[in-house]
Amino acid sequence: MPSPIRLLTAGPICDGHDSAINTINLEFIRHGIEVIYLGYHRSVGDIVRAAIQEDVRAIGISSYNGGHIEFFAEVVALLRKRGSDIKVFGGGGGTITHDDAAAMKRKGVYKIFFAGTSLAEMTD
Amino acid sequence: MELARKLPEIEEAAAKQKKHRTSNIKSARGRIRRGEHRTSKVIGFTGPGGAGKTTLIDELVLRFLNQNPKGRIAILSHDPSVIGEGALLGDRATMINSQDDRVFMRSMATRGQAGGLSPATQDCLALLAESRFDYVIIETVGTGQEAMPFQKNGIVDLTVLVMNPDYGSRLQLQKIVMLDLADIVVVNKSDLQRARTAHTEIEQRLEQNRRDQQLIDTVAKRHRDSGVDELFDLISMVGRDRRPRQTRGRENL
Repeated sequence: MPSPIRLLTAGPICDGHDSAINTINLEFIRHGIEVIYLGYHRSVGDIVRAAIQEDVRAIGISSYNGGHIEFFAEVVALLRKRGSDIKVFGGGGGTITHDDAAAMKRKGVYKIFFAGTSLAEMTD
Repeated sequence: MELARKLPEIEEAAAKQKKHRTSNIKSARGRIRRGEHRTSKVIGFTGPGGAGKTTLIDELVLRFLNQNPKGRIAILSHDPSVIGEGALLGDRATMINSQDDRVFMRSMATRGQAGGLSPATQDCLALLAESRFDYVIIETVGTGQEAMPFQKNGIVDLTVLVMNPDYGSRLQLQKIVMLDLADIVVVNKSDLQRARTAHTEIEQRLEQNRRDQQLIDTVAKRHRDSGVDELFDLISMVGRDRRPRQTRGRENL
């Protein structure tokens, strides 16, 4: 049996919206993923350090406060600076527009899930 | 970063049930048994879920980092895998002070192994103990009445059992095997009314053992708690001979 996938999930600094991320964590776990949940209100530095130490496949960030283009971009930039190829994905319900997501993709974010994405789609 | 990459290899091998018997790990384990090359003191924390192990460890780490500007700590933290599913490794979420460049933390899922640890723990521990950390801290999943997860005379230098003051009746204490084996027993949440009774009952239980065991009351969630200070001092005294030295027990207020 192959080893389970390990992911890190977190909420950005100053962001305490954790319903979405709690729900998604559980869904990932039901699909056999080991989720290292870092909690909410976490800085770029803390997220990147944790992801590298835990050697996760990807980082999932749930961001509802705004500032996502910059925040996600900084996470990607710091990862690359440290020589890591860990992917970054995330969502923000309705707060992240398609245009925003396109901008974020250009800055290296792997995928953004929009409001209404099914849980099954995310786990795939 | 290298360390981070080696550990999953160990986990991967353990998952395939092919013990990671490369010469590196084999000889690391051998050396550790012979007491050579040990740069780190290894402390094991166990106790029921919700007793406060993670919070307590985070508080101890804070003190360590403040008092040792160049010191480094490794933490191996375990959470249970759900059968047939993944795991929520949530210990990091509770830890604030441990998100630091001088703390290397690894969250591990038990992956079907009973007893509180993961199949890969022993080998990961062997690797960490030789990696120039001042302390390696192991935290088990929440435990109850089962056997002590840490082997006697194994790699672990000191074991700490963290108890909730609300464990039920005095009779329950008889069933907790770990009370016989832990070097230090901590009654956390000692701000609760129940804690005074808990301290007395546990003290009497430990006296039956007639061993060097220490009993300390803490309030881990409280900043600058004096009980945590006392625990920290006690752990810091684990010397080269790897035995905790005797101190006078603290009088309960």
